[in-house]
Amino acid sequence: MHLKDEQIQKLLDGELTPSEENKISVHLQSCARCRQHFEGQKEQQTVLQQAFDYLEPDPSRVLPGSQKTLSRLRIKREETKMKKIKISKPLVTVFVLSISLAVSLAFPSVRAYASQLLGLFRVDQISVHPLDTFKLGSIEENPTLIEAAGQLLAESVDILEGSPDEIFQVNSIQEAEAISGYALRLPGGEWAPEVIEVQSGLHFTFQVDLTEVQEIVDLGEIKDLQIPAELEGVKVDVTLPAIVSTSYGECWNVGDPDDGSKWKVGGECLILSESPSPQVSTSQDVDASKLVEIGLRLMGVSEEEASSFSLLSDWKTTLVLPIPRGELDVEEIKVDGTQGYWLVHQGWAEEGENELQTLVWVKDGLIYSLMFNSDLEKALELAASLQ
Amino acid sequence: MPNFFSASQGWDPIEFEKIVKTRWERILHILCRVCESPDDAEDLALEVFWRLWENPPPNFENLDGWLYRVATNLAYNQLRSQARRRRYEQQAGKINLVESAVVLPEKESERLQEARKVRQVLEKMKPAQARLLILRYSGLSYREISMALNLNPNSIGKLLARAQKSFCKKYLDGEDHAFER
Repeated sequence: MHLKDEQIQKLLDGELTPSEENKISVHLQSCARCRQHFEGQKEQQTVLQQAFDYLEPDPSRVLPGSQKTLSRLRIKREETKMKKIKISKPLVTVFVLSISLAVSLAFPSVRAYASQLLGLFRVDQISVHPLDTFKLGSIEENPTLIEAAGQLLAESVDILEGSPDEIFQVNSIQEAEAISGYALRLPGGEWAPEVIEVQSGLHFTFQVDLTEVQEIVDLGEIKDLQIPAELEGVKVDVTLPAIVSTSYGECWNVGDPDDGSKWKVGGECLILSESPSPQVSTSQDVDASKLVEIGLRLMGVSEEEASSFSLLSDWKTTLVLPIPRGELDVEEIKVDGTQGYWLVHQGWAEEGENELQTLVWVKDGLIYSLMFNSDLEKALELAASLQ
Repeated sequence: MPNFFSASQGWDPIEFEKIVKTRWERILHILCRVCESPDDAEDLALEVFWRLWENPPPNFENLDGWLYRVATNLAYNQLRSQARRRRYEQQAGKINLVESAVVLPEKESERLQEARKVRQVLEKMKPAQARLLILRYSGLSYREISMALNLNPNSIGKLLARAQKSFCKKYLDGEDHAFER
């Protein structure tokens, strides 16, 4: 039995317990192959240490203290004092699910995760289904899993086009169309966007490695989740088109590397996002419903609900949105001349204010999401004016 | 929720400034390694603490982890943005003019060249691996890294070993790293 890379790494980094260290040291004395392995890894570490030493700030230069930054922070605080309603991460997560695109969470975790959740399709229609065991908070409570999934999957992802995490604010619709590569539908009449933001599209491939996926499952401590053997080696090709967002009213895009695109709301605010459908294809036929089930289990949904949810669609052309029962109210609604859904997030508004809401619909190959805290009528009016 | 922050009233400014003062040096140190100038690092450090003021984490038990994560993400974005700028400048023929105008001692010039090479390698790596190395070689322990990146501490050793291997391969393979992606 020979030492693994991680054991040697921990030994080099002093991260072993005394008994573990003793055990490994004894083994090294008697195993030439492991000694060679150890020396090789130690040499790599030396290369890295020397490389990072070059990044040390010039020792002759005095680094700035915190006082200047504290002064700048005080000035910024004064300048931005205003009433705000935060569009917080859980709602943004719903937003992401609503249009099936990663606008808020760091690549590659959500990109890879989204492609698994979406299965293999292009979206022609959307429907919803409430779940008891799906909690928006569970996403935040289990960031370890999402981040770990990203870390491990990232090593097998090849980006062919585009760049993850790139969000641009642009000055005109023409610029947005040039970057996104498709014609936009925008509100007509007196609706003029305050902010126009483009999140770049992405085209990437990855190959499923069951060992890695199993590690993610183990990290999530999810019991009784078996990954089908037929997924081993499957190559997945994912195209996520660019997302264009336009804001109306009192909204400000503040951005946040941790949360992706992030908006602050001063008064009435409406944020319209649109994008063509993502497209996913694989090197061989896979059971898309199984991928959906795995994705939900990774997010803490029970085995029973994940299984029945995954069977609601063939996942070829219909996206079914999981809705956390009790946290979101949902109704079918006619919007932009087609059938869509009106989601009301409970508990976000203060007394006398409207709740934060989202309209979701698909029309002519574009997926739309309109997040707002105004009256519903205003949001429907904006959607009806799209041209 | 701690008594220096409440959902209804926000931060206690005095407590907030205490947090800035006690974490400042470590955050700046991480950013200085990635940024080409201490001024850029200082600007990014301001951004880290501004985000703390505006959008504090839901869980203050892992405040340091949150700060490291925000700093690393900003640092990585800065890395990519520096690389893009250099590519554009080189294409515009500017870079040679700037470099030839400044005469540095040989040792300092060599150090800058190597530092640039290291940053270019980091920029070409998988983002998750680059962030991991930045934190590790900024002196964070496995536990601190796991808190910053929301990873299982037991997986850090394996992930680090892989990231180091990937870095060495790119760093030592003799390619011209300057303007490749």
